[in-house]
Amino acid sequence: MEVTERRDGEVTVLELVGKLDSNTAKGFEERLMGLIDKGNSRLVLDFGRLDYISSAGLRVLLMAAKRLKAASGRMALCGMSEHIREVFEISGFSSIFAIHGTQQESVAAV
Amino acid sequence: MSERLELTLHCSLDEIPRLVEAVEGFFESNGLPLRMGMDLVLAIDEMATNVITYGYGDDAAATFDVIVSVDGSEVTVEIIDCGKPFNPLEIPEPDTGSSLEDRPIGGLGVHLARRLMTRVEYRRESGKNRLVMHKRSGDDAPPAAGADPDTETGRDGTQGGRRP
Repeated sequence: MEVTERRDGEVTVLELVGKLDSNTAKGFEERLMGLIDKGNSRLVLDFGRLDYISSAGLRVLLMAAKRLKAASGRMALCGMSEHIREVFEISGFSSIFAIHGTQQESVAAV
Repeated sequence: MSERLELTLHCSLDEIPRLVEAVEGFFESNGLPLRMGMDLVLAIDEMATNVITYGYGDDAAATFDVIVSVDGSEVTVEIIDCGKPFNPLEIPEPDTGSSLEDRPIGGLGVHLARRLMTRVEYRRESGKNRLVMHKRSGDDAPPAAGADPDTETGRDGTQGGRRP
């Protein structure tokens, strides 16, 4: 999975491309936790080009959310496909994450 | 039209990408609706990961079989292995209503697979674990709060999903 990173003002935007699964979750966890630990407290994850997320990926998001909360930070997710949206609903993650349609909305929300 | 895919994989998590790719290609060539295909790929990924992780403890020398068949609008996935008895349906369901602070990490894989599939059954027979998942097209997962998917319990030791 490729992750592109850019800044939108004070917000760090990560765009995920490909699959966030057991194979790629570890690497993404390191990257995401690293960003949070370095003080990036306003994060947006753009799922517009994410094909697939498995429970391994959801686990990473949950860990990041907990760590962000401890650091008084905020994270929002955007651009989900119908399938990924369904996965978030089933797992109950849609009620613990801020989810928006567009990156603009997410950036404004954090 | 009836089509079939049979794979034998080593019990190593490194095999999951190969499994996912093969299954994705199979669904594409069978013209399965994209969303249904993605739901199936995810369920297969999650269950195969559990087989490898809990059934064998990541023993690359051991192998397990995945058989996928399409019959009209229904897809059937069988995961058959010789690991120690392991019924993934007995893994407790996570509390998907708990808040961020209370939410434990883990336990989601089987839950996702069960909710995405129309029916999931497990049977232990002839020294093997046999997990069978069915998905009918047009049968999308019900909303997260409350409802359970319709599942079957067989009389001969097979187990369907759990009702609250």
